[in-house]
Amino acid sequence: MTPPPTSLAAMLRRSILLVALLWAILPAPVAALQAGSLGAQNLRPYGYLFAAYALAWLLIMGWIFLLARRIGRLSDRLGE
Amino acid sequence: MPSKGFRISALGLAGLGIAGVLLLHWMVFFWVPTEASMGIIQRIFYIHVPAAWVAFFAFGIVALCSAVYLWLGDDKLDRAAMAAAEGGMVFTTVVLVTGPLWGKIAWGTFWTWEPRLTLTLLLWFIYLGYFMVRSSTDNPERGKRFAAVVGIVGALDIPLIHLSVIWFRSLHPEPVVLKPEGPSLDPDMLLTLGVGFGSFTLLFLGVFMLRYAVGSAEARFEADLREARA
Repeated sequence: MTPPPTSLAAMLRRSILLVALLWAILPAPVAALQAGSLGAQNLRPYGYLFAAYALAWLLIMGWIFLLARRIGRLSDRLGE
Repeated sequence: MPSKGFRISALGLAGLGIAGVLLLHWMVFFWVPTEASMGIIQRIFYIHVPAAWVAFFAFGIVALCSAVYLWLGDDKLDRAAMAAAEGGMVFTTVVLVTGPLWGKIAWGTFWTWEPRLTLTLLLWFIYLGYFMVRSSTDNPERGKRFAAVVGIVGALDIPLIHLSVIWFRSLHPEPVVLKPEGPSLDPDMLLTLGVGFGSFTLLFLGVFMLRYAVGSAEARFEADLREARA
């Protein structure tokens, strides 16, 4: 069975997702390389550093997402 | 409802804040030098400290608006306090999440009941109470007044948090920026921290103003609906 043809929009969505993912996960290994040899060091602090930044942005983006949803709900009610 | 200019300013501030945050990430992960004794984990400092500043700033707005609300009884001030309290809760949670992750590496434990950590957790619970008290009564006006009192009392914890590392024997590092003899930080680190302060403040102000605008539009809508039903 052949897979369905991929639309341009779907490819674009995947590309954006990939860029967002790289943007989110790249800083920690880059910082690790900047600090010295990866093999010679304890990697645990990098994991904690990544977790701290990821959780902080998850919380802030969550707040903005909830606000956007609130705006959406208000527009829907105004449209009724 | 706030004017179109107010909403555009809010979006502009939030946009500038996001741009600043992107710059901050580049500085933290590609530019700023690694601190000699703590190593890579010290980079948590660049979001932990600005988040703490924004949380204190937000709860300062809550206390100020709540005090004037109790005096004048203007609903706009209650809405502003509510919007700031939401932001304050988010940024205090950021502080309470990032701090223990640093502590696990620096101290070997996620949490210790030392004065600054305990008082910060207390601040989080006080403002959780701010939202609970608001919805605890059938009379909305009474709920707003109770919440305003909690908002004012909660802000009294802020100077205690700041001074706790000076007054008590504490594991938490002492202030490196706000001290009488001036900041004791490498200039590159200080600049990165400054970008953190600026971008977090702009982002908070932008989202806070948008949240206030939405709250005002909802209140206006509800009032119009009640008028139409009457």
